[in-house]
Amino acid sequence: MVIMQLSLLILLVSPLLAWQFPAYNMTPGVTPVSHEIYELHMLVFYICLFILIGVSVMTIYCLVNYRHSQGAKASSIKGNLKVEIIWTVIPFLLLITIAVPSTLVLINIVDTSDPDMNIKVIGRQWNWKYEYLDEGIEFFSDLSTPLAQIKGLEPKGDHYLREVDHPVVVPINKKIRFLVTSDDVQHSFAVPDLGLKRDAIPGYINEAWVYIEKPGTYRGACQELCGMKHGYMPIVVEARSQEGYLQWLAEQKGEAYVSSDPNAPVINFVPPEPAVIKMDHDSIIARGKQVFEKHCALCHGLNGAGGACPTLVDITQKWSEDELISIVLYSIKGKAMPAFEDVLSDQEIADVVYYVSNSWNNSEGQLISAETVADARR
Amino acid sequence: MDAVQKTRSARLMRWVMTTNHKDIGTLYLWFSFSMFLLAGGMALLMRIELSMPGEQIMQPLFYNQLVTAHGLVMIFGAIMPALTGFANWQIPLMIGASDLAFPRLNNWSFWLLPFAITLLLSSFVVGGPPPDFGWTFYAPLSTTYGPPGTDAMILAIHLLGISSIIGSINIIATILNLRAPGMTLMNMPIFVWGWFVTSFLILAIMPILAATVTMVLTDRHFGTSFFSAAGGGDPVLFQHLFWFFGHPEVYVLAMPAFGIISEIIPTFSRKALFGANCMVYAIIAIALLSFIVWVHHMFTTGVLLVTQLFFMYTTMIIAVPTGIKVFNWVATMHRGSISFEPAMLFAIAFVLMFTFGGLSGIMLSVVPADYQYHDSYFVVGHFHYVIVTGVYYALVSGVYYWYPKWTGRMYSMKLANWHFWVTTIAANFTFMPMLFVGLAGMPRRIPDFPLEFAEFNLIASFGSLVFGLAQLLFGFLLIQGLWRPKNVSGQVWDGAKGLEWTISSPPPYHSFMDPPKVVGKTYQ
Repeated sequence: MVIMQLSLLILLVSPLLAWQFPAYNMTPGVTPVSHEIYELHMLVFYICLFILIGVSVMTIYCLVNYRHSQGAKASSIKGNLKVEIIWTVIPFLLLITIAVPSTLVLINIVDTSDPDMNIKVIGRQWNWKYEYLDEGIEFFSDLSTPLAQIKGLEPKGDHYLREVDHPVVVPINKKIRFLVTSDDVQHSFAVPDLGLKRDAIPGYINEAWVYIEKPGTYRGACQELCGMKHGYMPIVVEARSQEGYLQWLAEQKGEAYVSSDPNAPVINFVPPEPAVIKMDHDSIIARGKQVFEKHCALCHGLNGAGGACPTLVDITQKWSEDELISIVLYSIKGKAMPAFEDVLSDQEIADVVYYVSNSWNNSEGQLISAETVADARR
Repeated sequence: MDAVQKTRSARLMRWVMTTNHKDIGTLYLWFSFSMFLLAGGMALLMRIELSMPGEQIMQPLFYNQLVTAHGLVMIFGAIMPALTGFANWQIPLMIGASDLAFPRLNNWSFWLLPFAITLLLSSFVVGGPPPDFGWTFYAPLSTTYGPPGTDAMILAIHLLGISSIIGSINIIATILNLRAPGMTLMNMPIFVWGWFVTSFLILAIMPILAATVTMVLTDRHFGTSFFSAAGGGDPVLFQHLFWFFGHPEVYVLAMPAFGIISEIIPTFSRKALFGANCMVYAIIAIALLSFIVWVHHMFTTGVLLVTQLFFMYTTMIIAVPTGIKVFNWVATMHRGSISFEPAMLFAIAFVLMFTFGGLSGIMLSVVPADYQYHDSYFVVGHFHYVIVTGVYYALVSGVYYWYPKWTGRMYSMKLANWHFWVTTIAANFTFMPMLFVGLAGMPRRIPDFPLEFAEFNLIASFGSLVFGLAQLLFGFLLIQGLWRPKNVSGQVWDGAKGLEWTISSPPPYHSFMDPPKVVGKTYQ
C-alpha cells in the first residue's frame, strides 16, 4: 500500500515537471494574438495551480493532523459566516484578475477590420478549399499522407496526417482575414501556431484574422467531428516573405514574376506542356489507382473489399458504368459517401470508374472518356 | 406448472412488478453498473485504437460510432440511472418516508430504461448503421448526413427523457409531501437537497432535449429545415438548443454527487458538515447559474463579442459557489477526527480531483484561451476529471458508504482499499496525458493522430486498461460481499448521522411505516 501511495504522489507531482517541456504545453505561436493567448493561458494556469495547491495543502494538513487513529477529538463547530464570506470574495477577486486581460485580448481578436488580404476557407467532407478573393485563385487541399502509412504498411513520415498536397501560402507581416464557411456539415478551421480556431458552419461566414511574424510551415487540423474522415483533413499554412509569396502567386496564375528589386533576375514562368493523356488500358489503370488510393481506399479498402463502406467486388453487377459515374459525382442520398463533383476532374472520375470496373472480379471492357463524365454532370 | 417453476417465475415477477423503492433502487444500481461496464468497454476499444498512431483495430467510421455510443450510454444509461438508484434507496430512508410518492410510476420509469438502451444500441446489430456523430449529434451531420440508426437514437432519447421526467416528478412529490413530521426543508440532508434541485433541472431541460431531437426527426423525414441553412434554418440554433439542455445536464450529474460527498465527509470526520446552510445556497446558486452559461460550449461558432463576454463572465462566476462547496468540505475535515474507510478515501480523492477538473474548467472559460483549447483533448481530459474522478468517485464512495446499510453485510475492506488505490493511480494515468496532448493541439474525436502525440497516448491507453480492470474488481467485491455474514449493526459507521442509521441493516422491506419524529437537523 505504501508503494501505491508513493507512486500516486509522484504521479500527481509529475504535471509540474511535464509543464517544463514546451512540447506538451500550449504553443506560444507566431502571431501577436497567439502570444497574448499563451500569456493569458499561463496566467490562468498559475492562478489555478495556486488554488489547487492551497486546497491540497489544506486537505493534507487535515488528513495528517486530525486522525481518528491518533485520538483526535472532533470539534463541534458547525460553520462560520466570516470565513464563508472570505472564500466567496477572494475567488471573486481572482476571477476579476483573469476576466480583465481576457476581455482586452478578446476585443483585439474579433477586430477583423482593414485586412491586407482575404482568403475564403471552405470546409468540406473531407478536404479544405481555399479561395484567394483578391487574386481570383482557388484550390483544394487534401491529405497527402499515403494510405499505406495509415494502414501501417510503410513507416510513417515526420508529418504523418499533418501534410497536404496544396498548402495555403500566405505572406508574413500582413493582416490576413480568413472567411470561414462550410459546404456540408460543420468543420473547424484551426491552426494552433496562429492562435486560430473558427468553426466552419454551412450558411455562416465566420471571420478571423492572423498576422504572422515568422516565415515557416504551420500545421493544424479540422477540430469539429465532421464524419468518417474527420481525422484526415489537415490544414497546412506556409508563411513566406512578401517576395516569396508574390512569386508563388505568379506561378499559380501562370504569369511571369517581376521582382520589385531591380537587380534580381527576372524569372519567366514557363507553363508546363499540357501532358498527353494516354488512353490505353495500363495508363488509365495506373492513373485510376492513384485517384482511388487518395480518395476512396480509406473507406472502401485498398483491395476494394469494403469494411466500413460497401464492397466494390462485383460492383459492376449491381451498377452500370453510367450509374457508377453518377454515384461518384453526386453520391447516394443518405449514404456516408461524399459527392466528388467539385473535387475530381472529369478525367479523374473517368479514370477511377474505369479502374474500379476493371478490378476485383469486375470486368468492363469499355474505355470511359472525360466527355462521358462531362455529359453526366447535371 | 410445478411448484419449483412457480416460485422461480414468482421470484422473477417480483422484480418486474415491484413497486418497492428498495427493489427499484437495486434494479437501477445493477442496471447502471452493467451499462457502465458496457460503455467502459467501448472506451477501452477506443483507447486500444489510440494506443499508437496508425490504424490499429478498427475503421474510422466504427470509431465514430463508438464515440457516440460511449457518450450516450455513459450519461443516460450509467450515471443518471445510478444517481436515480441512490435517490430511490436513500431519499425515503433519509426523510423518513415509507416509499416514494408514486410507486407504480417509479416501476415504469425504471423499466423504460432497458428498452430505451436496447433501442439505442439496436442499430449496431440490425444493420443501422448506428449514429456516428458524437453524443452531441450536431446538425447537419445528424440530419441531412445522419445514418438510419439516428432515428432509433432519437426515439431512445425520448424514452430516456420520459423516464427521467417521471422520476423527477416522483422525487419532487416525495420530498415535498412525505417528509417526516418536524423535518423542514432547510433541515433536510444535503443529499436530498442535491436531488431536489436536480429534479427541477431535469424537469426544465429534458423537454428542451425532446424538442430538439424531434426537430432533428422532422428535418430528417418531414421536409422541415429547422437546422438546414439551405432551407432558411440555422445549424447554430441546434447548438443553442442542445447546450441549453447540455450544460444544466452536467449539473444534473454533479449535484447528487455533491450531495453524496456532503454525507460521507462529515461521517468519517465525526463532525457536522461545515456551513450546511451555505451548502444549500451554493447548490441553488449553481443550479440557477447553470442555465446561463451554455454558450461557453460554442465560443468558436462566431457568436457576437458581447455574447462571448457575457457567457465568459457567467461561466467564471459559477466557480464561486462551486468553490464554496469545496472549501466547506475541507473545513469539515478541519479539526475533525478522520478515519480512512474506503468510502472516505474515495470522498477525499473526489474533493481533490474534482477541484482539479473544475480548475481546468476555469481555464476553459477564458474565451481567448478557449480558442486554443476548444474541441481539443484538453476538453476531453477536463470533463473526464469532472465526471470520472468526480461523479463516478462520488457514486463509488456512496456505494461503499451505504452498501452495509442496504445489504446488512460488510464488503471486503482489503479489496476495497486495493480498488481505491489502483483506480486513483490509473485514472490519473488515463486522463492527465489527455490534458497535455490537448494543450499541444491534438483534436478530440479522431481515430488516428500525428506522431508527436504518440507517447502520451500510449500512457493514457495503458492507464485506461488498468482502470477498467480495477472496476471489474469493484464488481467482484460487491458480489462477493453478498455471501459474507449478515452481521452489520443499524448504525454501521460510528460517526454516521441521519434517519437511515436509526433502523436495522438491511432495513425492513417496508421501513418507516410510522413516520419518525424529527427534532432539529437530522445530520448534525
